Amino acid sequence: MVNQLSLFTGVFWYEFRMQIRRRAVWITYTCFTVLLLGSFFELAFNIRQFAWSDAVVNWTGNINAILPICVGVLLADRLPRDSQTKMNELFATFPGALSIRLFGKYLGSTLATIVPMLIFYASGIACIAFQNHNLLAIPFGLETFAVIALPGILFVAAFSLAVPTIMWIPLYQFLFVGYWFWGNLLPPRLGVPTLSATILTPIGGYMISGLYHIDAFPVTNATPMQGIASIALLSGTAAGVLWLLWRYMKWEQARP
Amino acid sequence: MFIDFDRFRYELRLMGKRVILTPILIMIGYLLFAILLRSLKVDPPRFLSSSLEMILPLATAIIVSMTTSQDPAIEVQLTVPRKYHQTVLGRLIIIACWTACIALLSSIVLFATKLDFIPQPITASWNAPQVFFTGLLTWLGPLFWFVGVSFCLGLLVRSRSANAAILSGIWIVEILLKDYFAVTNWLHPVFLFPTTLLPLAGPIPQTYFDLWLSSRLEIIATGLILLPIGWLLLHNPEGLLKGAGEE
Repeated sequence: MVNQLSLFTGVFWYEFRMQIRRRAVWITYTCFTVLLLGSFFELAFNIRQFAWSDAVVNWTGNINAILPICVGVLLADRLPRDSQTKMNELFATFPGALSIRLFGKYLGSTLATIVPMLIFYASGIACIAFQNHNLLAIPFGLETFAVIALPGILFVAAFSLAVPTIMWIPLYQFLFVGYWFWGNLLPPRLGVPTLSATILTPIGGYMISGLYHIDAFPVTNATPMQGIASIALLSGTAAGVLWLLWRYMKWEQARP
Repeated sequence: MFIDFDRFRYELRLMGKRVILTPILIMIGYLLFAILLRSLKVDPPRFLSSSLEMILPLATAIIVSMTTSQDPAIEVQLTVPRKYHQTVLGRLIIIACWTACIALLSSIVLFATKLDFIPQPITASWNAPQVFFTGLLTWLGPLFWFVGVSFCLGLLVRSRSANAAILSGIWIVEILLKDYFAVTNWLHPVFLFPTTLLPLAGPIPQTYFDLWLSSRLEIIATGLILLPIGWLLLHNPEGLLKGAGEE
């Protein structure tokens, strides 16, 4: 048990350091920040039109509408990289369980990928706290991030780790971006079948509407139960995908 | 000539079937989805227009970033008599021309089946070839623009993942802020998908058509200007070698 824990912490921190030192992560988020500056200034200038709590929820929603794209695209090459650098065979000779290694990789690389996102998010929360002279915005901001954004990020990260093991990375990245638009941002009124009005939307509309009672496109008047169901479904799907990935990798290891 | 053809075949094999099949599979997927929409009593022309104007350029750009900015054998490539920038330009031309061929074929099919989504000035009575060739501008602009940006960006950021993510961010922001792009004059030269998003199809006022046409031409010009810039960026062996180890 102690060995497994030390393996997990070792993998977690190694993956974290490896991902956070990638230039690609910081360059990507810098470019996205530039693209999202309009949203930031809109928040800064119109902040007094809302209650501070609504401003925090809206800011979390805005961040969560776009930045998870970075998470999905930047995590897509993590597992294929182990194969390309011929590390998989070496890992297979180690005594540690594959499941622990996989889980450590998942959490470590995901956490590192959302660090720049958290920095940009925190700047918005700091702006709200400063303009409203209310430090409660900071813990509330942490809560909204955990409730609205985190389930979607875990969902996206699980797929981005798993799918590229069986799919060409650029194809996955392209399909993922297409999915993000189709499954989250496409208005259902257009008549095109879409997931954007269902609880399986990582963008967090049901959490915003159900738990914080603010309409979030395209969701209106959701119940708290729907919000909780959305969190449970996204987190459960992420866990299921990781389990499938673990089974697939075990099967692949056992192949002659 | 024989050597060139041999080289062409070799590059095709090197890039793999994935590069060739991706645009075909996208169009087949769209066709199947359009059939589903028809059965749901939703008119598919606008949806099909998005495949040519929005989807194919993004897919091509991500493929371009994967195949032109890095090469697993870059050290060897830089020592052979054939210059690396010529090899990369060859790959770029193959990918862009192949996608353009698929898009052209799709345009012909959509035009023939009256599923096209093409704007024309309300005051003019155009014949079929005029309408068809105007329709080509809907996807030629975004295709050139995305290929040019991906080519340069890939060489500047030296990371395939970062390049793909930035292109995706531009793509999503263009969609989310379409109304802002439409009403802001200085953003018209970078408004990539007005035909599908606004939408602009059939007879439209002459002013709108002129704006649409000028923005298409500006976007094509931007894409073309970026190609020689990328070509110059390729003349930096140190940067190329550093990029190979970044991922």
